[in-house]
Parts: sequence; structure tokens; C-alpha cells
Amino acid sequence: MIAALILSALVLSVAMTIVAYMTWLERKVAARFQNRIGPYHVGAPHGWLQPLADIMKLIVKEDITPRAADRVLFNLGPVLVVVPALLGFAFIPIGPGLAVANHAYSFPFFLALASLTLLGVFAAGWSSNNKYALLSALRLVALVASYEIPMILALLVPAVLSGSLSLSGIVEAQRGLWFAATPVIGQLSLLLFLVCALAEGNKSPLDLLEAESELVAAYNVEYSGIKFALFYAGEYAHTLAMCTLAATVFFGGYLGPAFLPGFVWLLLKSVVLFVGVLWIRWSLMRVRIDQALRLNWLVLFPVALVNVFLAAFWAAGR
Amino acid sequence: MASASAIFLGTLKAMGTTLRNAFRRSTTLRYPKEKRPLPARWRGGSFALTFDPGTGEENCIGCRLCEYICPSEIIAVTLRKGEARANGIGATYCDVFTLDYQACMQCELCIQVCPTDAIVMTRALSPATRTREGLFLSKERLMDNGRRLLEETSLASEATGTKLREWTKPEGAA
Repeated sequence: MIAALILSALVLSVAMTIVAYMTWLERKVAARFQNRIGPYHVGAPHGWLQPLADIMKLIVKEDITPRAADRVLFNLGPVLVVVPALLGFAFIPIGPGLAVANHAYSFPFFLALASLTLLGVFAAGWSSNNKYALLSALRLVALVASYEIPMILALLVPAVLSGSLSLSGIVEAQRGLWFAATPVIGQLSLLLFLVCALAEGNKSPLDLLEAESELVAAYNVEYSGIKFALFYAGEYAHTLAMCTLAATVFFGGYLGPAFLPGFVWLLLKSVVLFVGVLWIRWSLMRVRIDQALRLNWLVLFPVALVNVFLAAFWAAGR
Repeated sequence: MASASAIFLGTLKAMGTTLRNAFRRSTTLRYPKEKRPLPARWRGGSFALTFDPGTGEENCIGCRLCEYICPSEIIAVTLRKGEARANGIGATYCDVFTLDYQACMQCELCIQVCPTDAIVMTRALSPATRTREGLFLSKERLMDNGRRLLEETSLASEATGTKLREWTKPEGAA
């Protein structure tokens, strides 16, 4: 009991620290891609204290609740975004048989929790009583609800290949070969998952909900101060959860040469995947909503279906 | 399907472009420590009224050409008649010479028309101040700038009225 509490506190604090430093990493990587320096002056080597300064600033800022907003939902929104995104880390195995919640069906649980952030975003967009926030939230629901289908189909492939629905079982099944290295099926499902994860995590080119020219900013226009910071943290936590999930089910999670402990391997793989996401994000421009949905229903969905069938044949023929 | 492959190839191309840029040198300068070298004809600086270093006579003859040409209408000059100068550029002087730098758009027209190279721009970064008065250049301040130009010759912009007219003269013109 005590051990479980300590473990969960550790995982939570490590996850939150990484989330804070992801904002710094994103600004640094974006600056590199645009021949800039990025945060530099807060903290001696390359502004490494910048996340701390940002958090301090956002805490000190005024916390405004619009008069016409639905107070309960308005205050619940940020919490509903952050909590499910962080809860997902409970299911990620950080060592052989070691996870905060080691469950036989941890994979579906993780996905269900990851989808729950949608509720928080919609609550925020609806309760703000602002037309832009509402439109942005509606767009997000349309986009994420459609991209969920090819994403789950793509994630079925590791489950089918390993014959297990627990994340630990999926990692253990990759002792011989990572699922990302399975010919054709592995790469295809990884690609499908990455595209869908971009849409799920609201990252460009599929970050339709924050089209500044049409929607001012996003569902969080009316939020300020610490509540805005929570949304921001929730978005990054969600992206980190998706990267960690990809590292777990496609790149062998905590498996790696023994000179580093398992959780360090998991962390390294997740950060490398996050930099890949940033690379895509800062290379491509935002697509239109109809283009995004057409890509989903006419390309990703059929390809994902065929891919699951191929994986089933592959697993049955082994 | 053709469009899907086009999207895929376009994505790879875009990512190649960002990757190439990621390994280029950063163009950012950490401003107060590092400064970009200013061009010889830099126009972003302040203004100065020059005078003859030998006799100390001011060069402005109060002809008001700069006042007439200024598109922002920020220069005001009044004429005063006085003693003839020793260097023979006339017996008229400017009494009041004001330039409201707040609305200046650095077009350099006043310098182009000045017949005696009296008004010039300085090669320093624009002086930032906290007040409107700080950007209001009276004749005294302009003359002070002129004195600084004599001390620090690197501050003087290469462009003066005579040179600008020479540079822009059409070929074969008298």
C-alpha cells in the first residue's frame, strides 16, 4: 500500500516535471527549426529555468471567471483535462511487472482515459459562453471522435500480435523484436497511430481547434492564469501520454540494453518520439476541417481496417 | 489515392526543409551584448545640424527646403538675416529649427535637398526615451549632436546632401 503510494507519487511528479520541460523543449526545437535561439535568459545554460518562470507568472496572474459563464463547468474543465491525461501514466509499465496499476486490461483502460480529456475540453468550450470557444470545442469533438476509430484500429495491431490486452504483456511480447520492426504491418500501424495522435493531441497540422484567424485562439479563450496553465499542461501531458504509449506498444517500452534502467529507456524513447512530433508540427501547416475529416474517413480508416486483418493473419500464421 | 501519396511526399519534403534549417547557424543576436554592424548610410539614427569645424559657423542657411519636402511635416524652420559668413555660404541663418522625431519615417528627403549639407543623420541606434519631449529635437539638441559628430566621426552617416545628389545624378547630366 505504502509502496504503491510512493510509486504513484514518483510517477506523477516525474510526469509533471517532464510535461513542464516539454514546453521548454518545444520552444527550443521550434527555434532551432526557424534559425532562432529560443528561451535563453532565464537560467544559465540556455534558459533551463524558463518553465519555472512561466508557471510562476501564470500562478500570479488574475484568475477571471466570465459573468455569463457556467461557473461549475467552467472551473471543472481544466481539471477534467489534466486528471485523465495524468491518470494514464498509472498504467504505463516502467519495469518488468512494475506499474502503478498493473492490470490485465490496462491497454483499453489507458485509451479510455486518454479519450476522457475530450469531455473537459468540451465542458470548457460550452461553459465559457463564447461563440469561438464553443465552435472550437465542437470542431475538436468532431475531429477527435473520428480519429479515435483509426487510432484504436492501429493500436489493435500490437494487441493482436502479442495476444494480450495488458501493456506489460505487450512489452514482454516484444523481447525478441519491437512491433515497430514487424514488416509492413508494424510500420503501417505506427504511421497510422502517429497521424491520429497528432489529431488527438491537437498538434499541427491537425490542430484545427486553435485556428487563430477563425477562432481567436481555441476553446480556452476565456481562461486565464492557473486554469489556462492547467489546460496547457493537460495538452502536453496528453501528448506525452501518447508518445509514451507509442514507445510502449511499438518500441518495446522499458526494454533496452542493461546499462540503463528500464524507465530511462522508456523516457528516452518517449522524448525522441516527442521531438519527432515537434518536427512534424513545425514542418506542416494546418489543414482545413474537411481535408482532415476526408483524410480520416477515406484514407486512414480503410487502411487501418486492412491492417488489422493483415495482423490477424500474421498472428494466426505464426 | 494519388492525393494521399502527394500528401505523404509533401510531408517528407517539408520535413526535409525544416531538418536542413535545424543545422543552420542561428540568426538571433543577443542584443545588448551583440550588435549588428550598422551600414555606412544608416538612416535609423537621430539627426544633427553640422557646422564649419574651422570657424564654428553653422551651415544651415534657413532656406526651409527641408521643411517643405518633409512628408510628415515635422520640421519647422524660421529664417533670420544676419552678418555674411566668412566662408561665403550666405548671410541667412535659421532662428528656430525643430524636428519632432516621433513622426519621422526616416525617408532621408530632408538630407537630399539640403543645399549646404547642414542637416545629416547619425549612425547610431535610435534613441529610446520615456517621454514625448525626449524625441523632440530642438535646435540646441541638433547642434549638440553636430558637435558629437565632430568628436566621433564614426557616428556620421556617409550620406550628405551633396553626396546624395552626386550619387543619383543621371549619366551625362551637367
